[in-house]
Amino acid sequence: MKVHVLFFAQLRDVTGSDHRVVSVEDGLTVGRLVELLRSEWQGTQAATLPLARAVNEEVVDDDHVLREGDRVALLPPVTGG
Amino acid sequence: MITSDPIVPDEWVTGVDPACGAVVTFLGVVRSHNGGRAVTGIFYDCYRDMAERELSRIIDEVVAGTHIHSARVVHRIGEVAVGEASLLVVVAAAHRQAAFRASEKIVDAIKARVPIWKKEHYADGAAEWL
Repeated sequence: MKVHVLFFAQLRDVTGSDHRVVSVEDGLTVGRLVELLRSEWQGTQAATLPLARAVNEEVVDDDHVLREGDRVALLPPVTGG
Repeated sequence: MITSDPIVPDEWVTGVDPACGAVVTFLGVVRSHNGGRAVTGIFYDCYRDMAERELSRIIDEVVAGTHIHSARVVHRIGEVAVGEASLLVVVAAAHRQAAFRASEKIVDAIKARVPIWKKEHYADGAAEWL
């Protein structure tokens, strides 16, 4: 299935993109998706940057199971306000 | 609300219910220095859909949990120069104590929860995500 991964702030700088469509196996959890992405970013700041996860604009835990078309946002520590 | 446009406070301090005797306005402004470095501006990145939702939630929670009548929040995103406002919070209440306290609560909640990120630009040409 395909999910949309959204990047912000320093993660956007590191990946060079604000949005990526990723093909993943059915039943993949958010935690596992982040592990897979981090392994791609090894050697960069993104590999160890603390990240909150949101699916369809709601914060979720690592054990949240993904579904077709989900928007997965990886959120560095927020610094607004 | 989230906007890319300059914030004009006067536009937001109007139409307050006449039962409110206190209107507190907080303006967050880009500062000229941070950590000993000269700042020229800040770029604000934002997860807009989620940020709008979270701002509404914060306002609803504070209105329900305190003695204020209403609150409005405007957060600017994109490039904001030194001296310009990036955040406006307007709180209306019958009395001032509730208004002052609620405005602080709202600003603190925004800083902790809303998906917005700052990249500071420095006079030496460098830039850093905070």
